[in-house]
Amino acid sequence: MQVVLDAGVAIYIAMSVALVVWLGVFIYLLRIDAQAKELKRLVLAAHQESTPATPRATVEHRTPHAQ
Amino acid sequence: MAERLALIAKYALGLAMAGIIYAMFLVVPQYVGLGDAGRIIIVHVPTAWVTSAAFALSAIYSIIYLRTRSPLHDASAVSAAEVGMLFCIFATVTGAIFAEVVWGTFWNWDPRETTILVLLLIYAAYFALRSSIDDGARRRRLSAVYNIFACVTMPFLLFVAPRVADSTLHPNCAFLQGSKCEGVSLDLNGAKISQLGDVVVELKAVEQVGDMTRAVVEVRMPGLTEYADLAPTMDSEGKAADRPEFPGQSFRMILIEADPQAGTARVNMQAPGTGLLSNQRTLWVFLASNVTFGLLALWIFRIRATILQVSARLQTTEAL
Amino acid sequence: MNNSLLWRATKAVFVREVRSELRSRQALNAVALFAVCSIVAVSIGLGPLNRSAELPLIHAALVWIVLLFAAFTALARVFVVEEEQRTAAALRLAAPAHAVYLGKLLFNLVLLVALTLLVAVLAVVLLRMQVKAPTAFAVMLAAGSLGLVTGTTLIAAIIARASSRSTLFAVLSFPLLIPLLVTAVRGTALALAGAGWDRCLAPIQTLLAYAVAMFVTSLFLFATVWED
Repeated sequence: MQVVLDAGVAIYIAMSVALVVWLGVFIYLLRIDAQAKELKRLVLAAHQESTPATPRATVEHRTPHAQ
Repeated sequence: MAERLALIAKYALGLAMAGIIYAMFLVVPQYVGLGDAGRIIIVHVPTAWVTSAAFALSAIYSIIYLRTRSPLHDASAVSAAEVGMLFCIFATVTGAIFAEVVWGTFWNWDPRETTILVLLLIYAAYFALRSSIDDGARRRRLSAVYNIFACVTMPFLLFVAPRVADSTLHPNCAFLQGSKCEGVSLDLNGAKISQLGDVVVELKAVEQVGDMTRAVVEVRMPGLTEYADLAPTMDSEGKAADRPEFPGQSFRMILIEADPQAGTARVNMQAPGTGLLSNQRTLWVFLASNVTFGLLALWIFRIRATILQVSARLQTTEAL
Repeated sequence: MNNSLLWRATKAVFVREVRSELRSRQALNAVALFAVCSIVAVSIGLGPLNRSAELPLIHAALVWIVLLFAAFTALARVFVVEEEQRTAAALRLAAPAHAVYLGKLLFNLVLLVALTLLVAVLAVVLLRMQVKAPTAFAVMLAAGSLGLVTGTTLIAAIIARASSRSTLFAVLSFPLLIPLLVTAVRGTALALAGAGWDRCLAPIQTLLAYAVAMFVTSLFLFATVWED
């Protein structure tokens, strides 16, 4: 335990702890970012599907007694 | 393509932050008087900047919301406020740790501490307001109004917290118990003993050495544990030159005024860390840290805004 | 909006507030009792204080703390009562938004000035507060009250639409009032200690600037709060 608290070593330990914490936070952020993007894509797609299709009609002129 | 670039940027940010952490511990030189605790400013100051920037961003989005009335803008305002709150807590905690190590107390109502606490309270009030209004449109509208209103009071905090020029750290006089911003005046022919904080100081001599003025001051530490003669000096323009350290403490004594003819001198305590950024390596790491923390905040803000916007979209489609 | 029309509507709202207050005297009673109780409590708790260099600061802080909390109990009422008695919709139809805001602001101002007078007199009598520069002291209290009212009336309108109103009012107002409070306490202490105008002017200017900034912002934002 004494080695850990030694002035020369302690700073490396502190740095590695900070780096590990940052690594954890970074991976967490990456995952959440990806998931949020996916969610947005899904919702937008669902939104487009669920909007009711506008009724469409085409009028064709047909003369029944055409030659 | 844009997706790829964004991913590369994110990995670059991750590496940059790791680099900042490395530089903070191993590249930045130890500042005399602060020891390793001084390294925390590389994290502390950028988080405080990000806090204020996020607060301003949130207010801007609130204004945009009131003009467009689009729930998406409200979502942006909320996520900016949340990022601000997060970084505000970081800044407060790192600041308190630093204050405990260097100044010997976690909290002492120094002007900047007051400012950050007010910011924290405003954020908390903003979220409290949001949670106590049920109707969605009304909640968005009223909280936007509060956000803008709160932002208008911010400049007045500057009157409460006057900045001290030529110091990148907190002002020197506010946090030392019993010390005064003006320092103490000592007179060889009159009141030559006085108190500076809890240290007794006695003027022994004021003399002209070349173009420097030097005062010799005996200091007695509290409990009379230590005695020392300190000799702070001042150049011909009245700028403090030598700043000797009080025995067993990280504070320094500076000479503010001196008159060798009359035998008077005015001395004060100064916090360590003044002029910390004059070191080139520290300065560059500090600037890089500001940029990196800004980008990190922006990233978190984007993630949170995306999630809140998706949920706002879902609510509107359900309402239809 | 025609100016004289706005003024007449404002006056009408103000007169209505005063009338309904004189009928029930709820706010007046509550605030006066609050002020008396808190000053008496402080006076009993502290006992006679010795003259010292810090006494003006202590007195100033006590006076402003009492004023602040009395304001928290009283100033939200003007809007909360409209929601409770379900008269807000009628008021919305009867008067333009700005007139509603100005009328209620005026009423709050009158209420707070009365309260300030009471607190100042009580402090002189019960706390043995010595006022060495009476004019500066009066101006300081007036400017501070103006800031307090302009800073809280819009918040009162906001919280009237939310649940758990009374606590929310203090929670929302307090952070915004901190700059005002700090300036007012220091300025009032200067006036109590008998400082000259040259030193009292800076805090008075800050207080007035705060009041003006809050007033203008409130005018811009009030219509948004009041709409439904």
